[in-house]
Amino acid sequence: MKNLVITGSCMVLIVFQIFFPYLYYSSHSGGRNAEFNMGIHYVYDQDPLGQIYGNVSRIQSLGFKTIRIYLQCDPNDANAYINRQTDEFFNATQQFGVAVALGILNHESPERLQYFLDHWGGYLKYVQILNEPELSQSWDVGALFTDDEIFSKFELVYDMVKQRQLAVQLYTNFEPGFILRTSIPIQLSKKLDFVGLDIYMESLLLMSPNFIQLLQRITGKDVMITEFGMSTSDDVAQGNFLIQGLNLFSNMGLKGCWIAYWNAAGSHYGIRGRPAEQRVGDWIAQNTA
Amino acid sequence: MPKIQLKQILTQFMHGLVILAVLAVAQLLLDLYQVAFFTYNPPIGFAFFILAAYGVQPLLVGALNVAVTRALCEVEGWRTDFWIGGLFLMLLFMTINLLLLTVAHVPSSPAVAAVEILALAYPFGYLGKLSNA
Repeated sequence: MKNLVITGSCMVLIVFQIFFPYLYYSSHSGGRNAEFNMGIHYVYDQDPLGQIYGNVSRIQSLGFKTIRIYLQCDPNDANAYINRQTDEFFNATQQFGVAVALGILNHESPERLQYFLDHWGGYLKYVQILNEPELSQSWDVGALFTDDEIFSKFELVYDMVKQRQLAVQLYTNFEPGFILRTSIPIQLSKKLDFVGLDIYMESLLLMSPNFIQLLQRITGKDVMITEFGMSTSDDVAQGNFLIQGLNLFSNMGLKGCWIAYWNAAGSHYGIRGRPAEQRVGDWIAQNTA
Repeated sequence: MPKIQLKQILTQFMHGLVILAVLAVAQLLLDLYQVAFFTYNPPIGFAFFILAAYGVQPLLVGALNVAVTRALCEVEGWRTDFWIGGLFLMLLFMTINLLLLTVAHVPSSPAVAAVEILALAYPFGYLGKLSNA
């Protein structure tokens, strides 16, 4: 009987350790946090040129401080449509005083990166060196980058950005799978200003405080949620998920949270024009203003 | 009667003191060497860390719990199913540290460990005996 009690207690303690951080932070409000950096990923290349300015205006009016983008340009044609879209995007962010975070994907070409940084690097506030590198695909589907490949790729991109002496904060984002490749955030974070964590799905949101505590401990850096979203056609579920996560991350005292995405053709991640847009705007007004 | 009670209290306090001292030192060492483990020939270091933290540690604590119970409580014979007692005591200690970190934002440190050892010695002595009697 006593053995059963001890065994049962062990199980209860394990479950408690898994769920307690989430339950605690979800239910204990940290109060208003004016420093909380609310951001959103805008896929501006999916919008016509004439709509980009209006969208940046709308994002800013909702209270977002940062817009995250992926690198988009054509280094071979200065007048290419994508370059004009990028020009228009940065015109708008300069106009509205919105910070821009550039996400550099793992297979980005040095030519495109060089071109982008030469033309628009001065407008950036954050630069993301690689995207979830611990998951990145190497030579074929299912083949992950080795640690050495990640480190050398990171050095290449890092050096290119550093050479330009931009006034930017550097970060790399990881997904919860980093717990199986912890050496990667430990090594990369030595050259970063903060580290990002990407959270999708309810189950990973539930576990996210554990991941965040571990990431903070092993890197010694602040953690920002750099991608947070849900692809669903259920408007209520999407709104609930986002608000639930924003409350959690704000209560944990994190640097900020960037939502994925503002717009996303071909998926249901985008919040533009959906109830989540207004709900997130209201949350920002109530919690960060 | 009061003498017997005092002796019992002291015995349990000593029992808890020994168990907690080992748990606290193990926790501090694991924290100190966590990054070294994680960066040692990945993923071998990570596997070693998991083995040390969740395999070796509870076994050591469980074995120590048996030995301390035998020495202090004059129990005869040796129990061989001690691992679950070690796991239980380790999980309990980890849970207390998690509560301190989450609620009070106090990460584990030598000072915190010293306070824990003194403050929790008696209850851990009781639980140590309970999990092994």
